[in-house]
Amino acid sequence: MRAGAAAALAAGITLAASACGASHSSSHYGGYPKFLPPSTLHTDPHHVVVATDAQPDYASQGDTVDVHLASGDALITAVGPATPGQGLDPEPQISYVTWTVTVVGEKGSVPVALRDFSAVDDVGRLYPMSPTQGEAPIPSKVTKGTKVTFAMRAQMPTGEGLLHWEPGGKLSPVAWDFTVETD
Amino acid sequence: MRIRARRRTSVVLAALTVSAAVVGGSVATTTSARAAGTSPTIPSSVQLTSSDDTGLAPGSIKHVWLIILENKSYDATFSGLNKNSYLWQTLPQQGVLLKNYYGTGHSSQDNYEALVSGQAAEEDTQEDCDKAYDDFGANDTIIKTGGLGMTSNYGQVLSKAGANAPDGQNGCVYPSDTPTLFNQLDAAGKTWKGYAQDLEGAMDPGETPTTEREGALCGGPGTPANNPTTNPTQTSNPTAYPGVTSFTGAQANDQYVAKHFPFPWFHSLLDGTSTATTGDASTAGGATTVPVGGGTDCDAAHIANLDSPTEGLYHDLQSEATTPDFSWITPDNCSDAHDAVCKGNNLSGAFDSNGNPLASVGSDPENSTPINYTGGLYASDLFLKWYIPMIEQSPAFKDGGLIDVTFDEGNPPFTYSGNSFYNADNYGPTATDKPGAVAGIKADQAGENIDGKNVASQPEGPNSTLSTNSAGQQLTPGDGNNAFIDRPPACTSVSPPEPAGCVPGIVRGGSGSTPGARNDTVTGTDGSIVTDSSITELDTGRAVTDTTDPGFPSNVYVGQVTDVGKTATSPTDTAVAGSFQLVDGNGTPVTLTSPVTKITLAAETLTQDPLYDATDATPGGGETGSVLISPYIRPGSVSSVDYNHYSWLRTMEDLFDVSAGTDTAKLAPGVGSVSGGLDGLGHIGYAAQKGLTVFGNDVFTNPAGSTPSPALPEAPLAIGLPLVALAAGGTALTVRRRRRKRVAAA
Repeated sequence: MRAGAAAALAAGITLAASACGASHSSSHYGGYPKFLPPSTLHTDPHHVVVATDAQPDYASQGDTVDVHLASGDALITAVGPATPGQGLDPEPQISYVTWTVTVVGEKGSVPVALRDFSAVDDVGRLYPMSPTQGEAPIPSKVTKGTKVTFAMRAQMPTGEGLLHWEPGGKLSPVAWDFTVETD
Repeated sequence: MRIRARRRTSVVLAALTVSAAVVGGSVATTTSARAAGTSPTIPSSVQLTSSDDTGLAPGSIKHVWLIILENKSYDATFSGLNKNSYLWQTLPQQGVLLKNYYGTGHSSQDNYEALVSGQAAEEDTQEDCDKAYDDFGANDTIIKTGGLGMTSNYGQVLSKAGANAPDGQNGCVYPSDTPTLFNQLDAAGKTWKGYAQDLEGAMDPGETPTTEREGALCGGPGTPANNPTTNPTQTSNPTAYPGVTSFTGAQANDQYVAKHFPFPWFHSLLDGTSTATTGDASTAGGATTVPVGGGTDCDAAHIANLDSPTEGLYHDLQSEATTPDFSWITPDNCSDAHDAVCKGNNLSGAFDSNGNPLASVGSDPENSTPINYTGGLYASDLFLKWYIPMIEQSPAFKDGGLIDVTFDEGNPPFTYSGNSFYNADNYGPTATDKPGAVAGIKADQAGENIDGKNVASQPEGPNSTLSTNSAGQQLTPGDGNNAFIDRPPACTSVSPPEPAGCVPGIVRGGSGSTPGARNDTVTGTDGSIVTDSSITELDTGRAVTDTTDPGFPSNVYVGQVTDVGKTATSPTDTAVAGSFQLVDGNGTPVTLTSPVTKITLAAETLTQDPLYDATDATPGGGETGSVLISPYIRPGSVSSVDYNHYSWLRTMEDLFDVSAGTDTAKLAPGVGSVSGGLDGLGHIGYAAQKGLTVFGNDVFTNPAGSTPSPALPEAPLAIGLPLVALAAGGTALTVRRRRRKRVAAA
């Protein structure tokens, strides 16, 4: 297949030149075009992730997620986990960690319940959420223009994990990555 | 919030483009209002019927590079869970992310053929031509009846064995009257080249290619003596060929696979002769064409090793004159994300620990020693990090270039593990809380946009059809080939029906079967976690027994399953560390009291099988997503319009204006011509579907182009003015979008 490659290459160059025209043949190779963002790694701390049943998305703790469900739309933010007694000696290996969740209704109705949240650690262990002490009952749903903020907690070891939200018991449209740190 | 902002953008831009059409006259052939966002219905007041709907001035896009990756669903690629931040985050911020881009079938090869010819799937290509490299159909089996609607098969090649014939009975290489995009480019005076990584074997230092796995014309499987008509390569018997262990899979010294390179699968490319001097098919027969200036479509000027110092990509990128107008780039079976663990070099040794390349741009990254063998999206990210900056620094890219990173199909569903990593599941922990076939059905979905509306379907073609019996059970597999679900068994006896639950006359295609009992080698000492490299989410809820290890608890089940990506340190290593939580029937974790080494997962019945589905159709190739970068695309754009491979083909045909080509001779069966296509507008196969939407101003979000300013085509002032208006509109829209983003962030 490589026989005659040099001749073919020369022919190819000639052909390409005839096809593309010569007006830009003096351009040199090298350097990036100006229109590309100089740093294309995401750095916006207020990034809004869009997630739907059909297109789940992945976020870091603290990210706001624009969730579109069949029943309605909402912005949901999960901040945490907060850990008690950081810097203790010895460091606790298991802690009660707390997330603060804010849900803002945008359209229709979006179900809200503690049982729809769960965390999983890096070896797959599942951690259900419990209400925090003294927490007022959580409304069962948010509708357009309403906002609910609540805290929830789980007993978890230090390390990596994912916080899932499965509104109405359906598949999770979003998961937040987090790390439990007590050091 | 972002989606709503895009809707406003579309409406304003649409109004501007309509204005341009009215004022500019001939501009109306290239600009129009169109669908965008999640509500893609075009207002009737601004809807146009132009055949060329890209929204760009003629000739704006001068060079295209298509990089095609393998087998990843949208949620695997664009969710950040698979160690591919370059494709997931970096590249979409340089261009546009098409969130709703679909493959057209399962498995791989039919997608490649759909991309370049608009031909729908058939069972042999759906099985990656694993039987033989032989002829499919004939010129006289091309369907001449019907029109260009979605339900018509006009212009499609019918298998000689009839619809839904088994694998091995249909053949693989399309007859000479089946044109491809490359024939159209030839006839339109456009240059092109197909680059394949590892073509003719790996290019590692000091290694001489010893195999002729791709020695047939155009990189076809087999030796130079093989051809699909008189001497077909028996791909099912690779060891009969010296040095070959597999034609459809990678081997250590050669990770190229012909099934991912579209060129050898069309007689219209294989049959060219160098005697003709024009691009007119009439001089060479059928849809066969002659490249610009002579030669053949399979010569070294058109089919090349990606890293060749004399014919490869970097060589050709050195000047715009040596850069083809269209470049097709097929990474090898490791770098395209196909293999979870690579047989050979995955380019991991070409980068330092910070992800920076160790060698200069243009050098062959395979001149490095891999430091691991992890494949999947990790490997494809390494490939993209090497080659996309190489293209972006070329003069051709800066002057109307378009980089397109896409996938052949969404395979497998992310949640099913396979060659995706980090798929901790959402199921469990009770025995009755199990995954269903829903993810498999989603992975077989189809989507395209017709007349401005997203539709969850596509034309299925004449060969892999969809049909049901009176009970609503799917009898035939369709383009999705039942790839990720389990169908009822076929009946070996109708009266009484055997086996239980069988369906008479069912064609199961790629359907799997309900799993039997399985023995796994595992580790676990205490706690409730069992490490099991074979475990997947689909095993959730299966009963677990252990007759080997004393003290193993009874009445226990597979609970929460986790597959976590890990570095594969050798070609025989695994890329995923699997584990599950042992639970009782109520989902309560069960603690091991002694070590466990071997377990048996119970067989499932049809009703227990999480993938069992008798009624849902499998019409397509699943959602993959796609990323495009160009001076004509505003960085960070997102489109939610449904596109598929047929949309892509039509877009390429319009961007390169192939209908202006010189090959207007009627193809033998009376189904259009190379340059005119089926519709007289340059669209072939299902790219000619009536009303099929092309990539438009939701994709080319910067129709005026970015600096360095591309040379606008010569045009009367009346045309130039509305283009200036478009540029101004684009600026205004940028401001509007930024304001909206700040509101959303607040």
